[in-house]
Amino acid sequence: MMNRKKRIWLIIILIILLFLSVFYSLTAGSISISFKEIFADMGDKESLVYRVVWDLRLPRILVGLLVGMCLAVSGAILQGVMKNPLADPGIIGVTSGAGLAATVIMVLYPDQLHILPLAAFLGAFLTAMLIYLLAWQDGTSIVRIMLVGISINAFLGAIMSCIMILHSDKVQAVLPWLNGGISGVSWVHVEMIVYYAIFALALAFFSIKHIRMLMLGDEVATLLGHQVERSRFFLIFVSALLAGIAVSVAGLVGFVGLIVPHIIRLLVGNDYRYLLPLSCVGGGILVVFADAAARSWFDPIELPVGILLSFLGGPFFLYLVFKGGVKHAHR
Amino acid sequence: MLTVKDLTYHHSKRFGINEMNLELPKGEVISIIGPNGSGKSTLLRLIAALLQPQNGEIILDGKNIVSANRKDIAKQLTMLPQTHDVTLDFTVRELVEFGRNPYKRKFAPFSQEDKEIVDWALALANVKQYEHQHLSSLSGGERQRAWIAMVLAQSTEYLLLDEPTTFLDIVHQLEILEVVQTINQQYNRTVIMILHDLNQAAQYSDRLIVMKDGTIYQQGSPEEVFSEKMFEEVFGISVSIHDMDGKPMFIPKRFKRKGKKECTSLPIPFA
Repeated sequence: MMNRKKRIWLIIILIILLFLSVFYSLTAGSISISFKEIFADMGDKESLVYRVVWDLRLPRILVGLLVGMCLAVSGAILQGVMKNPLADPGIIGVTSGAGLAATVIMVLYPDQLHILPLAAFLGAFLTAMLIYLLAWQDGTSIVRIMLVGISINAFLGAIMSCIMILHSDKVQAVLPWLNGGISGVSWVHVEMIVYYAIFALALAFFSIKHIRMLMLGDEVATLLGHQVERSRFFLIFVSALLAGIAVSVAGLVGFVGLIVPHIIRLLVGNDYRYLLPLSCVGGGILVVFADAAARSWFDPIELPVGILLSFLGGPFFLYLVFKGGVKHAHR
Repeated sequence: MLTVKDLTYHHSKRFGINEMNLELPKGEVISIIGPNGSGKSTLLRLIAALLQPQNGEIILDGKNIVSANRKDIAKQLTMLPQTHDVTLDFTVRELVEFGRNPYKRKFAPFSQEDKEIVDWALALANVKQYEHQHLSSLSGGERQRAWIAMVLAQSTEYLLLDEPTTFLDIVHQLEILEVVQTINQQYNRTVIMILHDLNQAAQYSDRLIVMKDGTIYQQGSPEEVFSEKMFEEVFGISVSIHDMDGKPMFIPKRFKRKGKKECTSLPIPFA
């Protein structure tokens, strides 16, 4: 719980952090470049600085920013619609749907690689719909959605493993994607997802009032004249769209959708008018910063950002659980 | 006028409502009483159109609400369910503002009229002084009054309350019932509620509906309904009925199960 003033300060601090992580990410990497060099050499399109910063790092930062925003907002929406702070696009099977679709494309139809984002989104969306339909019974109970999601997750995971075992010669191409990373991205990838991402994030901001309505409980929302089922469908659709966009370019990056809204919730409470936009900024910060760290801290090895996030995210989440933070957040 | 015609609803083989007929005049406080599992909550939810009946009609001022648009129903009738999520991160005023939802047009800002109605509801439910506090910082009684303010802000003719006093101590129970009385007497709203405290039901209601096994056993004024026979047949207890300032009231006698011997000595395991 926070008053308005504190919330505004938090927004300012997060935006500053966002800029700092972007600047850090511009300078860090196997070739470290100082600000001075960036300012001095950016005018010269032939210089090394220009090529590294403009061709490699900037697109990578933008993709990281969008991926982080999409994942964090997707998680925040799912947590709101399920009324469960542990809901995550990964846990309820949406990312495994996207993952399976992407694996099929990469292993079985490698020449169709350009439809990967579309396929990943379709995979996420179809899985979300499948879960929703299977869980439907006199309205959709949250527990049913979770249980069905977990089963579908296991099932799709098994299919994915089968495909990879049967085509073990092509697994090399899929592996970096499965680990989750944005190391090879260029302006092509930015163009591939930027319009989808902006559209989906804009939809997400319209979802705030739906989430607030659903928080009152299904019965109260219905009695207030709100169309509960329609709004839940819309929210799951937006969440799947966001997750699909992120997965299509970055692969299976876990924990962002869980950790970011969680931290923000500890800071501002469960008010989605703040929680959702701040999670959006927080997701951007986390992925951009973690990606910069993953490529520079372990030089000469470049870790995929997904592995670093899981590496840090797992223990961090445990810390929250043992500190009682999880209970507190859903007070 | 609220008319229930041939209402049938079955949610399992054991339990349901069969061909129920009921007519409730406007402007009264009506309490539904009966033992657990007699179908009180089901009836209330059917009237609120939260459950779809297998058969029958519920006619509210001439319109069948079983098939009506949800937003139209929400301007005429609302209900306060029994349990609320205590993790809600809203202030009292924010909660009460939700009551104006059925009147809101898309993307339209909150109007002056909406604001005045919210203020009225806050004052009537006696929560104006907490309007900027968070729900979680209030006591159970204050929180319940905040929820009542929310349904009041919906400005509906009919107000359904599902056990509005449960889990509250006696002072807060009476506070809630006084609010109910004010809504009815000053603003002429029809209140239909489920109450577990039968004496309170008799004190505060114009009419009682007694339910037993999914049917209406009896309805009428508290004086008509309160009888030793009714308590015997519906609740299975013997009582004595007294008069308190013109309203009937009952005192249960020592509980005794009819036709059975008192359990005197069960063997104690491992003794």
